[in-house]
Amino acid sequence: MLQTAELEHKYSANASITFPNFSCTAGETLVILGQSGVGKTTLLHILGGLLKPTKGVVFIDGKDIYKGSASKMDAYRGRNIGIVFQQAHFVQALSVKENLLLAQQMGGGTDNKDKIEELLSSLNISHKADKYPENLSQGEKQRAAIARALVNNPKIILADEPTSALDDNNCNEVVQLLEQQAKEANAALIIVTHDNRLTEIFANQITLQ
Amino acid sequence: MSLLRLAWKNIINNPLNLLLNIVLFALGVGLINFLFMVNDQLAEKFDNNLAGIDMVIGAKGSPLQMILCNMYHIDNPTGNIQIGKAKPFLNPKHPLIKKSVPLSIGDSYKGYRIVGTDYSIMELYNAELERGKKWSMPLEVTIGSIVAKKTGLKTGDKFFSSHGLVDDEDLEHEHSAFRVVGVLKNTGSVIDQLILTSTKSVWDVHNHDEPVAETPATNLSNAPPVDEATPDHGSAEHDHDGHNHDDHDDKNHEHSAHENDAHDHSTHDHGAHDHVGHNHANEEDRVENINLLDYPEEEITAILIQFKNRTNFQALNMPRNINANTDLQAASPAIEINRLYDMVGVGTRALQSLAFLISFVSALSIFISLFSSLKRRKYELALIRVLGGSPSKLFLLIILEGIILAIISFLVGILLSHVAMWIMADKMSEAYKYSFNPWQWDIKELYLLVGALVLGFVASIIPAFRAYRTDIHKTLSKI
Repeated sequence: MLQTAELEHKYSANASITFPNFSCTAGETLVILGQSGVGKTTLLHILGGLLKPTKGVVFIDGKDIYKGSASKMDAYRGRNIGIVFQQAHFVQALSVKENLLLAQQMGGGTDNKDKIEELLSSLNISHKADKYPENLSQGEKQRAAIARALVNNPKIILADEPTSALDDNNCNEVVQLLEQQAKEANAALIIVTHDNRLTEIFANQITLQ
Repeated sequence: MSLLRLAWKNIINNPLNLLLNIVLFALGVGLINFLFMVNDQLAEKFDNNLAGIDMVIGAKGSPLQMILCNMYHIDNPTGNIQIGKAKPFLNPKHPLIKKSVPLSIGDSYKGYRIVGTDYSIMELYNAELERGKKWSMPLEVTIGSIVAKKTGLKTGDKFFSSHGLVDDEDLEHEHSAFRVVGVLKNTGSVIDQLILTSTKSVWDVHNHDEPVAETPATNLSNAPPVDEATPDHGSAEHDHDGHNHDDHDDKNHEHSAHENDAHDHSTHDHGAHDHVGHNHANEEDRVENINLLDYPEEEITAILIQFKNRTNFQALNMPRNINANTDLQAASPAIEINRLYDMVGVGTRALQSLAFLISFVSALSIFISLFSSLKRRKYELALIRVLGGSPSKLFLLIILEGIILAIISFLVGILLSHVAMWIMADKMSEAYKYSFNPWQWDIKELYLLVGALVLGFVASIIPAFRAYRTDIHKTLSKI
């Protein structure tokens, strides 16, 4: 499903970072571990089609995602890649449900309220559907962000430190939900983290140096 | 969740900012439109009332005042002129003058002016009768449509005029009741707010007021010289053979009829014998039979004049010649009104500048609030990109926010200006009897809309461009 080859990112003329090659198949979970500053977020952005690597290729379904125009990239990302960030960002002026509708709209799909209901209830936050993001707790926000990442049935789900702001209970819950939802959607799940709690949960790991 | 809806949600998410932007922008739009409306409607009134009048002749004083008084009926007369001195201009055979309309102004009813004149004034303003007939006997009046509407006067009603042009019951002429015989159709010109009667009626009412006028003898002085009147009387007597007219002295009868007007005019009217006698006795007072030139000692307020050919050299020089060589004053309405526009124009231009300044400040305010909202919303914007939105969608989103603000402000502003006009129209109609239409829509409002849209666009273009340039990676890495 997802495969990388010789990825390298140049921060400046003489500072660059290279990433090991790895791959992740549909329904599988890959944890990429690394301490702060080793370029985890940069890698995730490269994988998510947000940052074109200086060198190397990202293949999804055997296709180089950075080949083609920027607007095609935007459309592709919206439709096929779901991203969960460390800090759950929302459009503050929209309710949880409206944020999800926005994701559907931007992903090029049509409004599918049933899908949203279903996701929110499977993540146990359907009672927050009409609440605004500022009224949600950290755990609820992260769950809403997961719902948003999944709303377009993506092929790839990328999670950047999804648990760092959560306590142990919430951490376990969120990770389980992520994995379970990714499996149900038959999506490849890649979690980038320095949270050691996750190393015990997932077998498939690589570590950035 | 379309982009438009998102833009709308973003706008209303910050109500205080929204309020500030709308108030500023709406004030700008409203003030501009208000000035447009006042200017246009005033100009329309002034133009309608020009009525092809080329020159006004009256007593010496301020020429603008004379024009305002006699053409627009919003100022006091400069004084009166003696017919004898203005004789040439009332002469229908004058080679340069097509039409001259005498005006006698001084009395009013409930603030509406009673104007002593002749039928030519109706041609001047293209006035037609709605009901009844034109005034023909002394103290008969035909009223304009606005007078009819506002005072409730109907054909057959009687009223006392008051001396002066303001409504004051203490100054009523209580012995001479005017009688409404007709109502004019609405013309949109100043004649709508006038009470028209014969010049003679105005004289009669005034001469009654003078203490000496209480005796029949002085009343006679108003009438044409007896030798001129006698043939008329004689022929009239012939027409009404069989009636006992010989017992009547015509002049006495006329006088008593006037005195009785207020009290038992109706009985007088309905008495079969008296009725005929009354009409007969006043036959020579019929408007058609009065030639002002026969009363050189009497006074009128002004003469409105239309030239046969307004580009004629002599006609063009006429006002100057009159001013230089006679005790009269002549003025050209076009020149005086332009002078008035120039004077009022300074104030209008100052207000206009203020309106444009407010609009500029409001554009700045929209710009600043959009720009500062970008800082607050930078993660949101990056997020929209992550969700698949292209940079041009972000651009469009910000532009939409600016334009929605502009449209709301425009609507509020337009409403504001019409409400202001509505309030002012009320005051204006009280003060000047001029009616403005506060709900008259104008093509200029469409131009204003375009202007508002452009302003909204310009104010949002820099923030929109900044949003367009959002670097997702950098924004999302800085946590």
